[in-house]
Amino acid sequence: MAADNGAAVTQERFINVAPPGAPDTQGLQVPDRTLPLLRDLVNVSTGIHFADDRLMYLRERLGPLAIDRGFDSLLDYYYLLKYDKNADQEWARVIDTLSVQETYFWRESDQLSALVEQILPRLAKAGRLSVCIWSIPCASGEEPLSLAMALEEHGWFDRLRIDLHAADASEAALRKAAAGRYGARAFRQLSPAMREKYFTVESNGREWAVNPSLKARVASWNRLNVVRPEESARLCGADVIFCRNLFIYFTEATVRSVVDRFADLMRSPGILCVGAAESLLRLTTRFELQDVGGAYVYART
Amino acid sequence: MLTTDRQLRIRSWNPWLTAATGRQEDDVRGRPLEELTGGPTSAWYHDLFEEILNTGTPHVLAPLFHRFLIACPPREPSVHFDRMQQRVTVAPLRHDDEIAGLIVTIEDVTWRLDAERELAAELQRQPNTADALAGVGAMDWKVRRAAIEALRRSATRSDLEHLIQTLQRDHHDINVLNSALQVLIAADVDVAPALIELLRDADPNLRMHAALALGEVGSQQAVEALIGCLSDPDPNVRFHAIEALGVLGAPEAVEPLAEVASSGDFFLAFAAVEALGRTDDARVAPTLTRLLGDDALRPGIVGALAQLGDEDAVPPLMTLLSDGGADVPTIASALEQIYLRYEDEYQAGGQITDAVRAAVTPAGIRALTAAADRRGEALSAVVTVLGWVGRDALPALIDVLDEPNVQASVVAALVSIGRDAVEPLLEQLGSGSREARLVAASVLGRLADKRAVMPLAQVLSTADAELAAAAAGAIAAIGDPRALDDVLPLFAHPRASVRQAAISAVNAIGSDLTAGRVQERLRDVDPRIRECAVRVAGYFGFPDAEAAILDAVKDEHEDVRRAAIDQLPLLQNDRAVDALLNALLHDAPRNRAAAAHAAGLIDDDDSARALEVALEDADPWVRYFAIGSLGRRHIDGAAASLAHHALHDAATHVRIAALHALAGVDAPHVTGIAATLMREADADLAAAALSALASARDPRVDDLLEEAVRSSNLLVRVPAAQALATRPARRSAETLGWAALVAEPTELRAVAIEGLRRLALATEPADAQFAAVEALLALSAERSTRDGALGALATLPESAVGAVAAVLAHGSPNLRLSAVETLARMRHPHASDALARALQDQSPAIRSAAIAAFGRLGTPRAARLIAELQTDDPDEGVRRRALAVCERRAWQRTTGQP
Repeated sequence: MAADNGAAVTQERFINVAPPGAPDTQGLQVPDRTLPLLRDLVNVSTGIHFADDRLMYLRERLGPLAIDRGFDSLLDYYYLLKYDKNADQEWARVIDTLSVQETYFWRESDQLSALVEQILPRLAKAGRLSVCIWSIPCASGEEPLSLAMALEEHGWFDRLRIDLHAADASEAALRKAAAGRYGARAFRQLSPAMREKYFTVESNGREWAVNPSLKARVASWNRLNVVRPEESARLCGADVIFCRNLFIYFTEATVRSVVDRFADLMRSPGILCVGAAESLLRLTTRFELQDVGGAYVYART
Repeated sequence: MLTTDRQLRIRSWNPWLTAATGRQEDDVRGRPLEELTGGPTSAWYHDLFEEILNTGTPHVLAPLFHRFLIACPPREPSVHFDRMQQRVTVAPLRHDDEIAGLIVTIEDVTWRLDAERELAAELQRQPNTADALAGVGAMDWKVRRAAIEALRRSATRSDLEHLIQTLQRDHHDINVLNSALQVLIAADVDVAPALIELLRDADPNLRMHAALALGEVGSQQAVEALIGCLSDPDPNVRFHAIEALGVLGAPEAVEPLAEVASSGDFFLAFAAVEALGRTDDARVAPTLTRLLGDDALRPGIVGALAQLGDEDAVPPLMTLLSDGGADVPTIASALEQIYLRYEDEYQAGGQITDAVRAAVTPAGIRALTAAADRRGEALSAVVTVLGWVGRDALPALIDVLDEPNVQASVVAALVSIGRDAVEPLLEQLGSGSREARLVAASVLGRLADKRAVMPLAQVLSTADAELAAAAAGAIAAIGDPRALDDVLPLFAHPRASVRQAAISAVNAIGSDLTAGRVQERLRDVDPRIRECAVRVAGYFGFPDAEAAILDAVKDEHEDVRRAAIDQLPLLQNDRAVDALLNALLHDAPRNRAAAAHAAGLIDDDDSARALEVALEDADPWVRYFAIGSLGRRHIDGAAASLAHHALHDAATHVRIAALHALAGVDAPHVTGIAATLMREADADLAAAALSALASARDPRVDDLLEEAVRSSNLLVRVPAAQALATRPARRSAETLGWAALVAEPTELRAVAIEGLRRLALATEPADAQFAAVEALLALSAERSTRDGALGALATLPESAVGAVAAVLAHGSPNLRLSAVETLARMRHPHASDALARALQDQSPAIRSAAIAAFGRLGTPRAARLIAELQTDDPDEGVRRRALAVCERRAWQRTTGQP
């Protein structure tokens, strides 16, 4: 169902529509400027940013969603996402399809070590009786479960009340986390001994299921879009936030906005852990980079 | 202050420390220092202290990173800190010639950091230059940053002069130096003369930083002075002068920089090579190519050739590839960049791929294969070059089929190889990883080889929806009827996108059996199958399809009815129209929307009336598609309703549709409505209003569009520029020329240049075309717009050659250079005639550019002239360029013919 209302004056340019008489193959029309408009809308709504050379990836991922909704123009799908009163459900599908879910256990373990060997002892010494830790985005559960393992190995669940929470914007990721089954690639950084201790091999021999006792250490699994203030308000009172390998998909402006909100919501002294390839140094003065036991973390100032 | 022995036990502890920590000297003497530094970082300090004891090198611990060595409260109450912030110096304590221990001095800087934080906060609240100037050399980086930002925003000329004086006085303070330079670089005021003056200062440190700043400021005034600095006695000054000249990209610096590159001084030669790489001058590439024999410089030269090399650079690069003389991914990247530049600027990428194929050796292929195997850096470039190599590269390309980052390159490479890739791809389709199978399916479809049909058909039954859709898509592209019965089961797939792919495949196959197969499925119990069958039946228009489609409009399942509604316009009879109108008024919302869309394809009075009724539907999507259909059908009678919805509909996308439809019906009041809505806060609504204005004949429109392009609201500038591009007039060209330079938002530049190109292609009025060409030529002389403008000029028709050639007589060398580039890219015989005049230009850079252009074009008429230039031209760079072209083209002096 194509509309004549391209966002530009230029003639609608239809991609993948066959010339007259020839068989129709993909049938989705993409008028000029549709992809940049979608890119900007996705950025504002989810924080995820697509550079110019990745616009075709956006088309490949969102095209099938548009077809599923019965549209034959990607521009109409853009209007649905932007203006339709019931767009939230569609956004959940968009986030599912655009989120990069590839991760693994024990990723960037220096920060896990810093948490259990330096940060928590510091908090305990300061008289803290409970500590709230968030893993966001949690993807399919590898990170919060890694945190749970690290905490378990150092006996922290017996020494302090630890509230460990996980969150992700993608419902598909949360469904995978709920299923709690992982293939071999997810364990590439985790020692066989740890895998044996906390996971049970499935009958197909190709997957491992997380033990219920470890999974129970994660107090809640939440659907949460960190770019939306009303949703990120749930992070209020966090002592430690693991927010790793998310900001690489965001523009600087979005990162600043999210980090500012973290600073507003966290308890003092709050610790923010970001990915090894991410730096906040140029973006904020509300967190200071600290070397904690060889790991770089950001402390709320 | 305290001292320790070699075992780091405290030997002395002064009263200041006693007052600060509350510990008496007697209590701490003899105790390990570590007990007092303590904490998680004590091991780090221990290592540091040992290093000082062993090397004798003092260290300063900056408070911003270390905060404090010995924890104690601040001596005065602090707003920001609960511990004293300490600047600590740790030095060796010497006794005779030996290091007997450490001496540690601790300075309380809490008060100073407090003051700096207050200053930073004040600067952020209310930036003022007086405080900012004071903050330039602050210890706290946050204060320096706030100071820099304040000065950037509001420094006056006298502030900057004060800053330069501070720089001269305090440049040994690294904080002052860095901050001052940052402000000067960002200043809108012309600070170049003051900085050029600093190039003559007695202090080489200051001369060095002045050179650095001049490059960053980007002032062409400094070129001559910077060339003079190439013979400065201080190598650091020479180094930064080289870097600055590279940033400025001045053609007159080419020969001096080439001399430095050949000097044998690696430190400076490397910088000179990098600087040359940034200079847009056709003389540079042959100069650099000669230096490839230098092992140390080679990586830099390869990088520079990537920026400005041409086909003459390909053979030596391919030799390096074969000989193992340089890193393979780096060479591949360089080749790819040269190719892309040729393709983008001259549509002549084939010259580079041909040159690569002509020069590749078995050793080179092995080197590329090994690099692909390692999946390291620049894998995409390696894959691209392998694709040019052809069949011999197949195993390497198949190996990286599942590498996500290079998929596009792999697909392009395999498609270019063609049928030889089919068998290896079939193997991957059968047994490769999931990612490899997806890519294999896609490529097999593009290769359209019938050997792939049955293997693809076998994949269709996979549980992987994406793979099934890819296989169906490939079968559609091949169009072989043997796959029909394997595709049809996908009509039942739960994923709509898979069913869509199956429909496309069946439509593409067009088998004699299709009609019968589809007929069977029109009454299947599964609604998904019925839906797909209806769509195929409508597409082909089978003899019995009409009755089946009309029945399907009454199907119990909404999706089946919707599929039938979509086909109704194809039936072209009254029964179909009645069914459509009934659906438009009475079916479920999504089906009413489908009917509204379909009604746009019918030319019938009843449907027009029904569409107007549908404008009042409660569902916004029904209104949206009804409006779209009214606009498509140009129904003038609907103008009043469309205007009402444009102004008042509750759904923004409906208002947008109404604006576009109004433009389609040429409503008399569209200008007024659009003029109101172009100021709306919603960017898409404003853009639609501007788009509607573009087609209005009202004379006020040009003023409105120009106002919007120059508006402070950046969101309307781009759609306004696009609208202006459809209104050929001199003023449109002038406005777009302005917009291209302003480039706020950044995409405005490309839109404005494209708009000028469209105006330049328009035949009427002539002055609009001429104005657009003029504007593009002017933009081609500006660094920021040069590439885009040249690309646009290159697409102009032969009628524009005269206007471009006239610029060869212009006084500005930059403009003449642009004219040469444009004429070369236009590829018209008359353009070549004009280009030949440039071979006698007074500027060697232009003569060289003209030679390079003819080298690319291969125009024989210039052969003799160029052959003469290889010995007769007064400039060595030009002679070198002429020699390279003549050798490549086998042009000779005597006859000028190959």
